[in-house]
Amino acid sequence: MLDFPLSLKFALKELKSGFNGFKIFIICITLGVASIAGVSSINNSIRYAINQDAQKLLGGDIQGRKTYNPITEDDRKVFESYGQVSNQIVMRSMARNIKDDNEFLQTSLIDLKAVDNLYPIYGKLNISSGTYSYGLLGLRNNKWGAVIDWSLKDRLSLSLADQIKIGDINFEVRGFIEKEPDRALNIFSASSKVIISQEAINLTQLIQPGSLVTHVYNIGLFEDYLAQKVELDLKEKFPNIRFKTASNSNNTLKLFFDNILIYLTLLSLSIILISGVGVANTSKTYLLDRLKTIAILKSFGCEKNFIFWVYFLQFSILTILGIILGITLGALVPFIVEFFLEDILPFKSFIGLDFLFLFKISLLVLIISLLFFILPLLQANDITTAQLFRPKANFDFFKDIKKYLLVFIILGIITFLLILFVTNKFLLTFYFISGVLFVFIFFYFISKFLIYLVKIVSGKFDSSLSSMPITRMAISNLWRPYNITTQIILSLGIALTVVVCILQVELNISSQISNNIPKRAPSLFFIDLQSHQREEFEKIINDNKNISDVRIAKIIRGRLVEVNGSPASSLNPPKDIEWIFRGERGISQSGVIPLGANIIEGEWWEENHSGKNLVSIDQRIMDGLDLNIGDTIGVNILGRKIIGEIYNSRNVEWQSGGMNFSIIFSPNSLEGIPGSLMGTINLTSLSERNIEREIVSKIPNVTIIQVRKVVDVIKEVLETLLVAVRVPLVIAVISGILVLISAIMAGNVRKLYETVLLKVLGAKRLQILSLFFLEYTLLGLAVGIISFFIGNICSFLFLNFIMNIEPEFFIFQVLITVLFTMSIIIFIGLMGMWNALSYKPNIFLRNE
Amino acid sequence: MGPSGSGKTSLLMVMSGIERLTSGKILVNKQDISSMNEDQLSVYRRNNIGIVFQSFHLIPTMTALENILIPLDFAKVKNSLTIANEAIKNVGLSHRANHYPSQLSGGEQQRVALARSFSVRPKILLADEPTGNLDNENSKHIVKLLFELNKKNMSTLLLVTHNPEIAKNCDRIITLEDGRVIDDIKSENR
Repeated sequence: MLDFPLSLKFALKELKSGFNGFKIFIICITLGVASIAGVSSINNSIRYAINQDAQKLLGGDIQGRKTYNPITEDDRKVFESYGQVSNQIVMRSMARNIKDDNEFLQTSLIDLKAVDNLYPIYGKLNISSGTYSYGLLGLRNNKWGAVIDWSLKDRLSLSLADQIKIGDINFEVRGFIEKEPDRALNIFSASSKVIISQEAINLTQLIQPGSLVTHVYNIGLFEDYLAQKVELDLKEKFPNIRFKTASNSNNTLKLFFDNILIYLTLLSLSIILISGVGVANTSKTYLLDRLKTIAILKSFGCEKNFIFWVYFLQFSILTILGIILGITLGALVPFIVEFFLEDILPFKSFIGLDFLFLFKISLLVLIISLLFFILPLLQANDITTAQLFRPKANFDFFKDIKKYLLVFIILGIITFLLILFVTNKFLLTFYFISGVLFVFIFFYFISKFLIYLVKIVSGKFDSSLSSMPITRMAISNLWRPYNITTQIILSLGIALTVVVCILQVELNISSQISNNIPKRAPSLFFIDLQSHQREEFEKIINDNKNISDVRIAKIIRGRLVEVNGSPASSLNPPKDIEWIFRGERGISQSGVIPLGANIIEGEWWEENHSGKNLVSIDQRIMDGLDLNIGDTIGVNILGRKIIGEIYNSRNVEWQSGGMNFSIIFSPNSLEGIPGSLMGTINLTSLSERNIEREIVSKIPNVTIIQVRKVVDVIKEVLETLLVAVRVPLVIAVISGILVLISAIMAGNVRKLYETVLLKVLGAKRLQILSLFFLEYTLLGLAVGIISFFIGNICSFLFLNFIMNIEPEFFIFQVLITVLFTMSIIIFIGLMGMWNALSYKPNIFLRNE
Repeated sequence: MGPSGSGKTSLLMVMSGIERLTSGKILVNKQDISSMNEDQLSVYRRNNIGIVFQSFHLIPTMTALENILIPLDFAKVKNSLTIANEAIKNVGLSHRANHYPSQLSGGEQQRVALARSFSVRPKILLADEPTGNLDNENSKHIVKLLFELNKKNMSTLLLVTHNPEIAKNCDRIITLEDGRVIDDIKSENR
């Protein structure tokens, strides 16, 4: 029968005398908890903020969006039967600042939003010059009003009352936007918002047939109407209009953060795992040190389980202490994140504690900690009194392997369930646990194999090594009884594998962003060129010597509605290509194959093909829908259904930044359908500004996007995000180093004695240091090489199968990291030994 | 000889340079060892001193032969393996050369410790109650071996013991009490 008060009394006594030895134990738990609590509190803050602001972010309870043409008056009446309807027209355009003599100074890409007098239904539009009212956008002294982003003020050097030209109309700047209630997260946008009135947009001449204009209808529902129900009604009545409600409006936003959070969650779980190894090492060191105490307690008649409970309580108390510290640190994370990402987040993040969640985390970490300290605890408990009084007693894993495995399996299942409980992601949890198991088992067996290999090899070369006694001793230390090879390989191998994997993933993401796009993307994109303006446009291009390549294509917005005669709604596409059926997509026609595209199946048609409609589609759609050459697809464009026969499939490289549509029809298929032209321009020299100014001054309705600028914005934003993502990486490295220290400390108990004896037997300090330098270098080399390969394999699997990125291998950077870590191993190992060298030998030699 | 706490082990420890003096100095072969640093003391021990402990102090992770090789290797002695093999043969444990300390009996462990100490042919052998952890039979065997090897090696043996029977084997018996020499006699048996 367990005497709990007595166990607790002993636990506290033991803790008091040996607290110093537990610093690493507590730091490991704290770091692990802090990282997962931090990630989770960011997650909660963002989700809370998104849900809280959803109505405002959407601009209404329900939003309907339609491309090209507005809805009819009759349709509007149906909308109005549900609630108040506010209409916006949104499009991309160009703004130019002008002097009174109409001389162009600078141009900038803008997100133009034309609002009506009901805007905004929810929230408030805050502007610098006071309160916003619709009148501010009206005609005053022959000038229409506009309120603009601060970024546009800076780009075009504008002040209040200055003029900008949009399309054919001059606007007067009447305010700078402080807060736009319905601004969704568009962190990758390189353009600035300009709000004008709907009367004014009609005068700009920007809305031409085929212009990429979206008509947005925000409905503020009357009381007693349920958004979800109305959404269903409207979807049924208006199949060509996209509807969403406040609750499902920010899916893209949620998805964006979900991806980052999955990565961060995996990282923080890995940190907990690394920390667990630290816990295991520290508890083993501690218990080995306590064997004498255990022996004395046992010889004085205490029961076996009493010992177990004394140390179980002691480790649990320490874990709880670490958890409390970790949660406190983790709760501070949203503050730090907000400080760094304030400009990117479209809302103030909610800072608060989710106590249920923190409870879940605490429980998880407690179990994981238990999972790691239970083995040394059981081993210490199972050691016999006779064994304990032997001079060098040690734990024997295989003595009671069945019992240990059973305990592990039970705790493993509880851990799996708790991780599932925390992440709510079965597959992620499954992959994580499987990965962890694999890595542990792999490193365990690889270490045993290495020990065996070194033993065989050193035996073969024993005579050649006799002239190098220190090398011989160092090599022998790797396989001798009570060696620390397995412990170091297991501890450091896991930590280093995680670091290599994370580093490789991060380098790949950075490379995707910063290298691929700028190298391959065209210099300029243009949209909204009208067919009748093509000649004039080409003249400008031909006259400019800096232009090396121009691609022009017709773009029409359409919806994929039919595959081989079956309606899209009856199909069940795989998740990764669901987007093709979601809303309208850009569809083009072309005589020539797009730049950078490769034909996978079939062949490209003749440049001036006439006859039946042929289609070229993205290979992923071909695979996802199990299509073959000769199958048909149907698209709905402005209410007209156009059927085409699949003639070939292409790989579409979105990263190239060039024009590459998922669906391209053969020439003449889309004739007669109003659409605009879009295209890419490549320049030989950096003169984007000049060519942009020249085109916009002659064809004002054309919108030009400087790709380099967009890429720079993306890079800047992602670099900020990468900093946030890098923090857990740093924590992982710190945890790894701590684990290493704990592993070396565990081995040092024995090494200390050995060092003292070597000194007594005539070894100089330098000789002893050389001996351990060689030992740790050999160990570091082995761990470095193995972790390098395993980490790279893990990153390959993660990048390829989870992130869908074709992996690149950054051998140099990763090798540097591995070398750095190896240096740390050697340095820490030698530091430990240096301490041992300064020990007074009599401590060991006298007392025994 | 002397009671517990009289300073016997301390004397051996300071003579071997394992412990430092608080005052005074120690001259060994006219060499002042009290002013030596750690490394100089190691070299001093390597060239002059052999030590045998009551608790044997073999490195548990090394075999008997490897334990004997340690001082030879650090002293960079040529043919160290041959000498180590010879040393283990001299203590009658050739057949146990590849056994670890935990696989040896107490007597065997002390014989390995003796072989280790004599392998470098020390000028002085310090033995701190070498039979303290052994039974009668083993004690007799170890004492016999110790004096035989000492004679063969022509070393100076400084032996700490509680046992007057063992002490009788020595040329001179010094008795300590509270850190002071209270008696110094020549042995009658020698």
